[in-house]
Amino acid sequence: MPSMKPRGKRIYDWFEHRLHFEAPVKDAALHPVPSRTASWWYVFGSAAFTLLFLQIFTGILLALIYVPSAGHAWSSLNVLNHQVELGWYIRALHGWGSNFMVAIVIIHMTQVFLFGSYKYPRELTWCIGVILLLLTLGMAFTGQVLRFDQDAYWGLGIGASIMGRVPVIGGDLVHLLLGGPIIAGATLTRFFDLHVFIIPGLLLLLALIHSCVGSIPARSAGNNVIAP
Amino acid sequence: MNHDEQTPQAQTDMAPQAAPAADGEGVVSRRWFLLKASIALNGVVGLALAYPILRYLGSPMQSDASFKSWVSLGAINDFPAGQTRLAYYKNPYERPWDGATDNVACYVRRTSEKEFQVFAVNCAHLNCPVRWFPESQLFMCPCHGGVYYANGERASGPPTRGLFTYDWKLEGGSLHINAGQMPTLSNSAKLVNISIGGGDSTCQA
Repeated sequence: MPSMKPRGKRIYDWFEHRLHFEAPVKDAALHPVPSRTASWWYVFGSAAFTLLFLQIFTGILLALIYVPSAGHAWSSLNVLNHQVELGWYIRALHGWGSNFMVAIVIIHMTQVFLFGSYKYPRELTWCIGVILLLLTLGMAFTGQVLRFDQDAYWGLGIGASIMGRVPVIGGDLVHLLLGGPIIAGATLTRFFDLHVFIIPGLLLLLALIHSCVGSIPARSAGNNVIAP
Repeated sequence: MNHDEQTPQAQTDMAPQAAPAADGEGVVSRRWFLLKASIALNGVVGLALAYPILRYLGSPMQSDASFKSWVSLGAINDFPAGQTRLAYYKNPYERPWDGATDNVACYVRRTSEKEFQVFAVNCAHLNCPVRWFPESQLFMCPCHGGVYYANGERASGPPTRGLFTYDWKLEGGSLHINAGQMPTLSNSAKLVNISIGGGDSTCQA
């Protein structure tokens, strides 16, 4: 017997009966919050998460053109800026997005600190958040290395010389950081690995845990009472 | 006794002297044993994988003969006596995709017919490139204001010591230096000793 439902609804139901997405999405979007928290002060966590996805998306677009080779990185960016249709715009989105992400993450942290939102039961959320801040700064540093211009080169020199001050194992750490005895091709390759695979992987995983762990106590700790 | 009922097989498998207590303590069920055994096996596999992975990751830390080898800076006559000149050399440790980065700069100061000093361009503070100013006979760093005298000794600023120097030798009419690593405070680059009021700056009284 043909269903009376429209085709779109039937397709939606087919997936919904297998995925069960609706309940958690509704729960997250519609669960009651105290009226005093319906304020712009609470947007920065979501804003940081949105920026993370903007960065991942624009980063994937840039990786279509960028060449992670010490001999070609800079010239591939020139092609991106001047020869690829709207390449300059995508690159600017990624560059400005990174600045905004660092700023928004720091504002988010400041808000959580000032409002005391790091207290029980959210200590773990705060701790993961601190790691997320460090990973965000790590993304900013490794990202500017990928240009492999003079800024990147001498910035790496500063990083290496700070690393070289570690007692006993400093010299080994410098070689590990640079991928060899000098700043060269191997250095760019490993910073590309850090910027594109290692740090974003950790960042995405921890950001998901951060938002899940962060929202569970909110609902179980008697916070779901709407103030009059 | 509930627990005992769930694991009758485990009880009969156990040695008789290890009679299970009423609460099931001391009973090792097959399921529990297999879980622990598979965790242990996975641990062994993990260790077997960890060794090559760690060796692979640590390969840049292994010392290489090219980290310390003699390279030519060109003919001695390219460096007039009494002057300090910027020179370049191809780093002995290189890869085909290094681009311009394996072309490393250094400063050569020829003090007399047979006497040289070769300085790394890297400031001893945070490795920024120092620049030679012949007018004031000073090396100056653009980053945080480190200043060095013509002989590499520290003059002022945040560096705690003089410029890094390379060992040099004369061979067949050309100047060779022992190079290969970016100088940092932790590697074998030698340092010029600090003494107060050094240098031959014309600015000095």
